[in-house]
Amino acid sequence: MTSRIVFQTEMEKLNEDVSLMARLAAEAIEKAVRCIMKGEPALKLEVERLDKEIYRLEHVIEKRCLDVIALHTPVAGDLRTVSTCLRIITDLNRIGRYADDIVEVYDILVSENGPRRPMNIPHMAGLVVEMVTDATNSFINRDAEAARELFERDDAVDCLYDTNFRAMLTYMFEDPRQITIGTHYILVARYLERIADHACNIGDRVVYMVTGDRLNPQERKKTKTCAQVLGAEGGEGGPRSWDYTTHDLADK
Amino acid sequence: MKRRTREALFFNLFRVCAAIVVLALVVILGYVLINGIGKWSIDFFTQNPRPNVHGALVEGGILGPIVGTIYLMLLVMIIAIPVGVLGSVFLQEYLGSSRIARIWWMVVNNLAGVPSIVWGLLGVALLVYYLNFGLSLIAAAVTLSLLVLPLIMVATKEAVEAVPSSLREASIALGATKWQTVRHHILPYSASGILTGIILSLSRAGGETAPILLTGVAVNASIPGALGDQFQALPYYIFLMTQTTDRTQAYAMAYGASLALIALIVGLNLVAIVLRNRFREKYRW
Amino acid sequence: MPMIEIKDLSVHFGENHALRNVTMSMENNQITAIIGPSGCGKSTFIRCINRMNDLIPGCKVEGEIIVDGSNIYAKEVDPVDIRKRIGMVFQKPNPFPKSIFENIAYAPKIHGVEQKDGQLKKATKKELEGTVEWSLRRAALWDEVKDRLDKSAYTLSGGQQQRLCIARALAIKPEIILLDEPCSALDPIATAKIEDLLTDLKRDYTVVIVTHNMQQAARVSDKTAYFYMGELIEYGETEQVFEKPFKELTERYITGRMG
Repeated sequence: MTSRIVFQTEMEKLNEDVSLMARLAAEAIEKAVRCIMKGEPALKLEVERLDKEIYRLEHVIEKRCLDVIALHTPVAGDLRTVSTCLRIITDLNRIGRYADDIVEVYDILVSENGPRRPMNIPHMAGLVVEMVTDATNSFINRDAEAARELFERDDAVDCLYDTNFRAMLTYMFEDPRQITIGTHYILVARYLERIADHACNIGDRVVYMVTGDRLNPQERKKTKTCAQVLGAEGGEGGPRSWDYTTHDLADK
Repeated sequence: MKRRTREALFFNLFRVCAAIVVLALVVILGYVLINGIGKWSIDFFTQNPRPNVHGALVEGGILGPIVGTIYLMLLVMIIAIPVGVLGSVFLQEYLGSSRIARIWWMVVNNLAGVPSIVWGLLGVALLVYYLNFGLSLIAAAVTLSLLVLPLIMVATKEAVEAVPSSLREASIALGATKWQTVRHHILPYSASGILTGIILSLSRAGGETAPILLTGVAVNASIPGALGDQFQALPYYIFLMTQTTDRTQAYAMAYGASLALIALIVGLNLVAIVLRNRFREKYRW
Repeated sequence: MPMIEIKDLSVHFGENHALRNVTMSMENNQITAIIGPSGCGKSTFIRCINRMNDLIPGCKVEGEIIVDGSNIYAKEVDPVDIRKRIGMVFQKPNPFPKSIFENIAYAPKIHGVEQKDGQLKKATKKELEGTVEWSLRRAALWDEVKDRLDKSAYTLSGGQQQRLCIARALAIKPEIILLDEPCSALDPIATAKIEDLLTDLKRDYTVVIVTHNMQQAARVSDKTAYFYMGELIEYGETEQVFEKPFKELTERYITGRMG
């Protein structure tokens, strides 16, 4: 059974690599958000470095997956694991890119004058970082239940995005000096919303990996209104206290 | 000692043994050939033994004995081959490894070692007296058949066992009955082995003296016309020649007859070998 | 109605309980693969279907196997008749040491040819030749041997011999074909040819194949049955068994974590 020892070692390495990549992605988004919210320029370089590392890992992991398929013909649980790894590294790579895109906004925020009105962005950021971390953990722990819970929070993020978007537009109409910053804040919100979607995709994949079931698309239809969703969230901020009401990027 | 030396030692030892065997055979056959070929003539084969002036049967030829031996061997073939071959096949294919079969083979293997004089005794007691065949060709033939039956059965058994069971399975899986399998496959494929057994058995039967002595061979019998008649035979004739007083003439006749007997057996063997090789080629696997 | 229905099949070889209460059914025009570790009873199982286990002394079979509506283990059934309708190909190719022609013509010769009125008549030379050609074509062997039908079957390569055995089994037009690890003794190319052949054969026959090569089972079969220690552990669509097996034992075996 020597080939199976080799196979099992390969599967363990694969698991380690994907777990590492997931943790890096979670770290990248957390640092990116902190960078533009708290104004820590050092974090920008950090995030760029993380993004490069995530990119490199995607290639390494993809090759490892294909090697396992070609050489060891995985079936059943092993096959589902390999296919899940192949899919989520795409999502994780996107998350890394979006983190990088977010920190690019930092320079604009530093150079522009005018009031900063990040609106729901701190709240969204809190949820999104949590979602990415939870998605990551659900993969590492093979926890399908945790994965399923991600969808409700995605609905919350979508609602926050919609609210934010409308509010931003209003401000920009009222005060054209807000347009540059406002547009960039909208972009940041957009990136956060997309990251949340990717976290949900990861959750989807984890459920499949663990149970072999694919989630019914019907289950993803929004059944609650935004007010209900946000009300359930318990008002301001998520469980982690992001102190954004006073932030260091003061109004200039 | 060194391995190579030991290797060479044994190899040469075996060579020497083989050479001794071959040499012995060549010497004996050569001796018989040289001494016997002189007596061979048309007369030798067409005339019955005749007494000379002293009454010893050293004149004439060996027609009677040859015919008698040939008749014997034919009868043994007719009796022992079907019984031996089919009986053995039946035991192998239908009774396989059952208790009856195992006991039977144990018995048969032991019977193969019974001395021929004992077969003769059985023959005279059972066939000549109890069943009242009297001293006759048929009594001798049956006795000889019983003697060679174990040989034929064992040879058949081993030939049949050598047929791979995969071939049997293939036939059965096609919906053939056991008998069809035996007839179309087992027998043809084991034919060469069976023929080898038959060759050996007939050679043995042709040369046996003791059983025929007790059951029907006679010095003055004519050529048998019926199964109940007595008969002459080559082995007995050769024996007689050694008991006669007219040494030189008698021994000459004995060598001639010995050569004839050997020639007969060799001839038979050759025929059977040809047949066996035909089968072996045809059904090679 | 399924072609083969197995009901509560149990087999004992003396003290050894080789198969326990197997119940499953196999449809027509499908390939069913039987997989499992050595000694799990898969060969015993497949040999019950054409009653080849009857040849083994001390073998006791309980339960029913219903083929095309009738129980083949019923008292009045003659096993010889069963084997005319169910063909078998063995692990090691076992052609008869006769010519290629005679190998294939053997079964039709001894069974006769069925006439229009259902009577069996002795096959004529022409009929036999026709059957031999048909069988060899169906087994994808005709082109390779059509010029040497009178040569011994043992002049063929291992893969060709096995296809010959398949042709031989097809010659009496059975309804079911059983194959007991048919590719074990063959190289990958010969194996691939036989797998293609099986995929073609399932159009007209019910095929059951025992294999210890799981990839082969996955490639070729529509349904897969997993046996372990004489019991049927799982039986389902091949895709389901290989992607999402229901039983833990099945998963352990097919991912190679058993033993």
